[in-house]
Amino acid sequence: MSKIEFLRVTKRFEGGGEALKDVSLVFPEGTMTFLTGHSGAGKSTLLRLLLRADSPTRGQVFVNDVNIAKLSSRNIPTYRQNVGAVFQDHHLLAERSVYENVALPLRVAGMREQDIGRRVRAALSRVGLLEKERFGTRALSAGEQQRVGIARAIVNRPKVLLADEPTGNLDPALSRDIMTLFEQFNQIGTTVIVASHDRELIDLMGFRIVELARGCVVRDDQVTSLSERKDSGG
Amino acid sequence: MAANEPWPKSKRPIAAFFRDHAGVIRDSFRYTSHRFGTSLLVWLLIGTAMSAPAGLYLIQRNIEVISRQWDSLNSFSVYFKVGASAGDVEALAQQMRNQIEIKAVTTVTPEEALDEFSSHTEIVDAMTLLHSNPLPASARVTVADDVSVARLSELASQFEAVDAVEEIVVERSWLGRLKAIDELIVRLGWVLGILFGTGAILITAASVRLALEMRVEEIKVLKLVGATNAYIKRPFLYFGVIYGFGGSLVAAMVLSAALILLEAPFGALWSSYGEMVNFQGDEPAFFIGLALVGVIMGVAGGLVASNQRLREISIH
Repeated sequence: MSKIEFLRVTKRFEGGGEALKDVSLVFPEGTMTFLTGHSGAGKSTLLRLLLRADSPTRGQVFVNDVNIAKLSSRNIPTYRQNVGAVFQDHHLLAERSVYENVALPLRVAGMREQDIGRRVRAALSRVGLLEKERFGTRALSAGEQQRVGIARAIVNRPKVLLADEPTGNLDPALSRDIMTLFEQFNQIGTTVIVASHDRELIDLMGFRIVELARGCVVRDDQVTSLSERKDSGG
Repeated sequence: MAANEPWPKSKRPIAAFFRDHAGVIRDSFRYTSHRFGTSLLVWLLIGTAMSAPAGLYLIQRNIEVISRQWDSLNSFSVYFKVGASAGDVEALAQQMRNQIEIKAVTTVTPEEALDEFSSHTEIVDAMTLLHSNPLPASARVTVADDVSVARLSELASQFEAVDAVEEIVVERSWLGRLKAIDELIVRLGWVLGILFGTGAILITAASVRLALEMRVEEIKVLKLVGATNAYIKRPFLYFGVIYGFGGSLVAAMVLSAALILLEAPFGALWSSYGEMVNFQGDEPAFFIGLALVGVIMGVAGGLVASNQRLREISIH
């Protein structure tokens, strides 16, 4: 379980403007949230801060009450092993097979080969790519590559799942399936944060929506824990 | 849960460590063998760089052995004045024999010297024209093996003051020069060792850096999924080991060829001085040492390249 809190976070890039301005947000544990907003609104920066790929210029980011900017360089890898990340540009290894790409986080974690095989096939099955496990990633379509990236992000059963435009290359039906997959993860307690332009899909999913514009939070539909959604028939 | 971590750290099984290493070794061999041409060039460069100081080391070792063997021949020659009586010669010889540090004294009379001289030269006829024997009596004095060079000179100078003595020759100046050359080679070996060793490390570092640049995307992904720096560095250190070890094999081949070429003339040279000297350098210990040095330099090169570059690579 993972509670995430942004406390008056500002991120300024050298030679650029402020990507985030005094942002305070709480993502309670086990929730699913959509970040939306135009390009340059600060969605990706927020996710990068959570991935500990960057540190805030001002303010603090807490995960389970631990200020992750203060994580030692030795502890950052362990932290990232618990955070699944999906990017629009996939970050796949072109020289390796679908199976090898998905197995990577498990190998890094030191899992046994038979367990790796079981977990990888389960993840590939969930994204509908089991039959392509031996394929090279170059042989896949953009949508399939995106699904490999998603399988890799979920294979290690992360405590936090971050997705930056995960459905950017997918058709509407597949996008809905992927979002349902994220939802299933959320249902077993994973805190899920998805950055997406796709307002139609976001609205359809019915989860909390945080809208960013020029680095500021301009809208936050606070409600929507799983129980509230169920109560409201969502 | 540690207070500075959001989640409890899961223990990585020890078996995973060995599994990872086995996998990385396999991948590293695959990588270097798939780029055999490049790898061969790297091995040749490192091997050449290692050959010079290693060769100097062998030369120095052989000079040391020779000088040690000759060092044990501690002796000096006493040349008496022409006309010194046999009694004077025998008295001094006896005085010398009484010294504990002197092992043996062999005297040569002027007549014996003339006989020996005659047997070696073609100028006997000229000698017969002389009315008297111009050669002096002499004595060859051998001291105990544990007598140092300095003590030998002291002993010799003791007898210089004796009236009947014309000159005392301690035949060690050439040995002194040999030792000076030995010292020079030792220092030259160190200088070249440092220079070429640094060169070999830099060659390895450049080659590893090249391999690293080809894998930047992979490193980003590994960082993304939580690989530690040690995990990411591992293949590059093994590249260093393979390059360093390969380089040491090339150096071993170069030196072996040099030893084969030099052994016969070297043996002939020393046997002309009546010495039996075994050529040093073809022992397994030397080659094991060479391989170890190569591996250490390879790891150092791998560390130099990966430490520097990994800091610069971040997740985008």
